[in-house]
Amino acid sequence: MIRPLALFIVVLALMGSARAFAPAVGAPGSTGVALAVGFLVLAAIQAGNAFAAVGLPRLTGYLLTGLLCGPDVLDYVNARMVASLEIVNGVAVGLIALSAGSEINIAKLRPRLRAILLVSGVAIPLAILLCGGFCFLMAPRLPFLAGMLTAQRVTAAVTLGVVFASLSPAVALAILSETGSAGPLSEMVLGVVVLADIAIIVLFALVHGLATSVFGASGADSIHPIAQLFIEIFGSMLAGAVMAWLLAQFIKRVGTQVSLVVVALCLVSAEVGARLHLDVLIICLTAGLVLENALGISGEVVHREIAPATLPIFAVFFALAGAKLHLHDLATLWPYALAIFALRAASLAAGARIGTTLAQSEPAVRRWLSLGLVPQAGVSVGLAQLLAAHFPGWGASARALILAVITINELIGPVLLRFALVKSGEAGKRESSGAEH
Amino acid sequence: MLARTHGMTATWLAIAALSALAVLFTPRAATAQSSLDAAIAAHADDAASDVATDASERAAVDGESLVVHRDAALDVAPTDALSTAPPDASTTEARAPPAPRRRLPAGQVARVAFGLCALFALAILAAHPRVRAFEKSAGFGMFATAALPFIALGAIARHPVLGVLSPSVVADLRPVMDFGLGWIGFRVGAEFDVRSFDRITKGTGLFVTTATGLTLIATGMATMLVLVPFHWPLSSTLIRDALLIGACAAVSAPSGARALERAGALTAEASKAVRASTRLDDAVPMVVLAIVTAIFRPLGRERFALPPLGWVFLQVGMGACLGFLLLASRSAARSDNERSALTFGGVAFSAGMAQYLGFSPLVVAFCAGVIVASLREREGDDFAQLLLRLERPIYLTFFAVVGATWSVASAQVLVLLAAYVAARTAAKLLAPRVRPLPGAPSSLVAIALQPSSVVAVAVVVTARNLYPDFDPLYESVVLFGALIAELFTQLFVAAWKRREPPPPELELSDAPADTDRDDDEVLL
Repeated sequence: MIRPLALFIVVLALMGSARAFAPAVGAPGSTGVALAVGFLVLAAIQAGNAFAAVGLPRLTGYLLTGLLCGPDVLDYVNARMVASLEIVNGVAVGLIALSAGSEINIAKLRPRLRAILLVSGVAIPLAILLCGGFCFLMAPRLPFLAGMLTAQRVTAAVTLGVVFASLSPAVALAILSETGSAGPLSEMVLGVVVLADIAIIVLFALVHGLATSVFGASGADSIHPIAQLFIEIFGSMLAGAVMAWLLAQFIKRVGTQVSLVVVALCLVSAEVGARLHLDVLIICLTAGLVLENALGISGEVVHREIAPATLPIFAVFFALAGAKLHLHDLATLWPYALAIFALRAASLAAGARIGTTLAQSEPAVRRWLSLGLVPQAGVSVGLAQLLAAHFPGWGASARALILAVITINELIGPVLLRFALVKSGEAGKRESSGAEH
Repeated sequence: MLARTHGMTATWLAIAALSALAVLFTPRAATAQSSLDAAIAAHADDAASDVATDASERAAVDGESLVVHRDAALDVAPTDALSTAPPDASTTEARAPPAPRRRLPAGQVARVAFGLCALFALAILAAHPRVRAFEKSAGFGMFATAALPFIALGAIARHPVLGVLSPSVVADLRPVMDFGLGWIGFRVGAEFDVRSFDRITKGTGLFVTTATGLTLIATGMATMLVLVPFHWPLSSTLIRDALLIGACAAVSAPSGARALERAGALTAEASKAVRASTRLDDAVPMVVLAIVTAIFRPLGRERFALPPLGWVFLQVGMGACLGFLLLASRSAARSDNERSALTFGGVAFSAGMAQYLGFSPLVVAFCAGVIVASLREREGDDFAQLLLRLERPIYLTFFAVVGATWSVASAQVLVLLAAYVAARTAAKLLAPRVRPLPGAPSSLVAIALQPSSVVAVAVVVTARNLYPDFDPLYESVVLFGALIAELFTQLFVAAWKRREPPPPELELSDAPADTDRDDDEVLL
């Protein structure tokens, strides 16, 4: 605890002194991206180690490092650096999805499929209903909803409900990997967050189409939402299958520098996919699934090969996520955010309990699954940005509220998930390089 | 069913109810409206910052938008927030209306993606152990087999017809260049384990000082003589450029010694002595860069005024601090992956901090590398393997980016190139006769020192990054000069082989390069 904390302080001090010596204008051509990456890797890893020493998730250490050093507090990693590092997000999400997909063996998962579908089928609609209902009820007190007609309020509330219901495969996989967890609870968490994430993407496309017809939209794409949804899902799956084949060929025929190839493929998927309306999460998830289930490259192999690349990328990714947390939103909107956070957690807990009971899951799963679903990040941030961009009238205010809720979920969710994994006895059961993470 | 739900649900519901009560009992004006206004204003400030960033970045690449893909992951234009709450930005850039972001057409996206993939795939294949084995056994330096091809590839990929490495893409890849420079500096520093200095033959240090000093002075003077007519009256900028060109000329690659050894011209011991000297001479450009960046501050608007010596100490001290930090972090690491991540982060931090403060990433990372290499525990540390594993793809990507920013410049290049090559060759030929290298024949040492190290490319790229007025033609001079030196050496070796065929046991070996790590693997 003391050693990583001391190193963390030294890294902060060095960065602080560099900032003190910095000229009024940066060096020619310097965007500070290399500085930010190096700083975040060193600081986040030490913070993660310090948190691990007291039984908290490393991921929370990464997030808090970003929050502390981000634009809202110390501003060591300023808004410009954060914007320049957006590219890391795509790579990290791709790596996480690839890892998640390659962990899902459909044959092994089949016995749990009913439970996963039941939990997702109950928890997600319940979360949409409760969170959306709360927004609708509070409409008179929320200025961006107050001036709307009833139909508009309902549409906006449903849209918000869908965004609030999203989960976080990134956080779930990172915690599972960090704790080296294996077992029924881990499989359920992974299965539910992945399925729910895909469901949320589909649902959002539908409600977005509805909202566009009710409100009209500015800056929206020319493609019809349903066509876009079709392209996003099936196009991404096709791209993922191609990526899996390429990766399998490389692993079988060349076999060196696999982690670099994977990073490059994730980068291309993220950057090109975004322009072609493809989703990096679905691309890489499909690639992982195809590798594991069709091409005979086991998840363990994928996990081992990409392990060297994951730690620095995850550290930067989650630290950046922390840097993007909006403390000012939370400070001003905390009563609403807290209520929505609690309603979301309650609906997910109820859904998890009902689904696992109906499916007669193991007691540990029934007891602890609810805590594993709380984390929320990535997708919901993206959806919030979309709302702000496409519905400038009320989307900007909605984004502030969504980001405030995400801030709470992102800070508390990983702790709860880790707690659940430790309490269920699944932490540390997997022998893999992921445990080193 | 509901009765059987977990108590957790009830707990969450209770919290929700309390929060809702908090909302309801708070005066409306004090909560929702003002809260949301504050939150939106904060987002608008963020957007204003983005606008300022965009404006400055656009200016940096002659009007072409750099950040076409920044928000593409979300397909969002963040400036939309401005439409609800205009920013109260104080900067000129923020007040300026944001130019619409250009979306690349799908065809161009695919072309860029395919091109980048192809470049990266080539970088990975060129890093394959078999390629390195061939390079080593044939006696070619990394400069000839990897650096030049990738620089050429980068230059081709930049061509508007292909449009793969367009200015906007290159600007986005700029951190790769910074990191590459830092990695090269760190790698050179990592060769300077002070504990191994005792094993160096006596007199080698003096030979290296003579050879590098003579080359630096000769090439620098020749450069100045050629350029004085074009830059009259004599300015300090010309002296700075001459020093930097001299530093580029001073460094030699070990490939010459290896080629001569394989041709049977040099004995194994003599070859090893030459290679040891080429390893030591890489410190010279670091010293020159440290002094030059201290005297000729690239920014000139620092918050602190220090004498040149103060800036030198600051650079060295910064590098040493980062080295100690990296050392401490690595020693506390729990796994190889964590050590790799920390090394990667430490190099990026060193390079980024140097670049941020207007220092050379090479120098700061070099100092950090020296500290780590000299003080690390050798047992159970995969430091060398880690460097070997990662460095080729990093270098080759770096060289491709360098190629994409390389401009061949004018016919003036030919004049300067002739002076550079003549001065460098003459100095390298003369140096062993002035101060012989112990244990090696001077005539062959003079040939063995001809090939140029890739550190020369790193030096000239650093200079270009630090000084906007650093003439791009110097880059061409150094690159072509290195190519000529490589050709000269290979021709000599071929001639030697024709005259005296090598013994059979010295023919090409299939042994993978990384199983034969002696003293000068890959880089130098």
